[in-house]
Amino acid sequence: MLHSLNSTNPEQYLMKVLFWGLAYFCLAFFLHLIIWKVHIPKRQIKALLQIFLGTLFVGLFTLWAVSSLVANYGLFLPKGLSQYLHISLFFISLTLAYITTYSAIEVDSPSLVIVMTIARAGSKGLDKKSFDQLMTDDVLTKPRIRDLVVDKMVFIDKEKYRLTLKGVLFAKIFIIYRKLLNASKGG
Amino acid sequence: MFQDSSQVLSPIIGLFINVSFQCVSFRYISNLALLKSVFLGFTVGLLGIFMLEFYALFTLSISSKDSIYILIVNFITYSSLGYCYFHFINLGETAQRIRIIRELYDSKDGLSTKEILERYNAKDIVEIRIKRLVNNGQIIYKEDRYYIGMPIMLLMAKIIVTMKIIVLGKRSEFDFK
Repeated sequence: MLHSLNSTNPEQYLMKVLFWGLAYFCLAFFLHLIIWKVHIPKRQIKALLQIFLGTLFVGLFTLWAVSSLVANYGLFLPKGLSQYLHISLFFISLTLAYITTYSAIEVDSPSLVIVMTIARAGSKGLDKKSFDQLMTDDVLTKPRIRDLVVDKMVFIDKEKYRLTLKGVLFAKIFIIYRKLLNASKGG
Repeated sequence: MFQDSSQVLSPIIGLFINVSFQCVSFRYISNLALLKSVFLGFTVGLLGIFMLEFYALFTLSISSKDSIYILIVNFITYSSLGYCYFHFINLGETAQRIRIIRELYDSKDGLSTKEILERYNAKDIVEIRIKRLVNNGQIIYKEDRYYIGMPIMLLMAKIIVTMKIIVLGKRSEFDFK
């Protein structure tokens, strides 16, 4: 780190981390948009992780290969392990932030459905009876059960849903965490 | 070596401080709301990062200018990680999928669709959210009718719908092209 800072201009250090981190993030984002226009994958979060992390690894390897070939030409390339680590950490944090936001894009959250349904009724409002008829299990609950099957967290055995190992691990993370907070089941 | 890594890893260290402080404060400070504990944890984690930067400034041969530049990158990284942690908490608090997984975890013999819906259904989901939306003024309930109150939630919903159109090419998961 110190070696990197002392051997390069500090503005360049920041610019390199920001530039390469953002450049690869934008590249991965556009790749994701293009793929999504052609075909939306069934397991979207898994596909997003593959696209973004794949872009980072290929991108950093390319930078490393190029810098070892043209090291003496003073190009705008990262130097030393710490700069590569800093770019990776910066990129991964942006990727994780996007993926967590993406879960709100992928499925309709109940609050979003509620607000948009009421907004569509306009200034005259929406009567409770019509509202209750629109908010059914077919819209709010059953699609989420199907998502769990698609994501391989749940499997069907003799018309009963059961957790897979992945589902059990996922449940345990939240159970332990919420016990730590002393919080209720949630939902 | 530790000093070198501490600056690259300071967002991770900040996140660790954030999570620890949020958990402890929510558990042990009575009447502290979850959202407030999240903001508190984030602020304390950020202070941790500032302290690491000051440590580097005074003990290592790094100029104040260098420290500011690194702090900018680390602040963006830490904020992104803090945002992810906020979503993790939110998942446990409101996500339907997590709630269904927990119901299945508690039922060793598994559950049929009917049994899941007996434990957790649209009525429960809507009831909790309507109560929350009415309490914070986003929705107004008057004479058996619902109206949009404050436009913040509607604005957020519109932003998400716009993102759905850009990324997925549809307004809702129930739109079929």
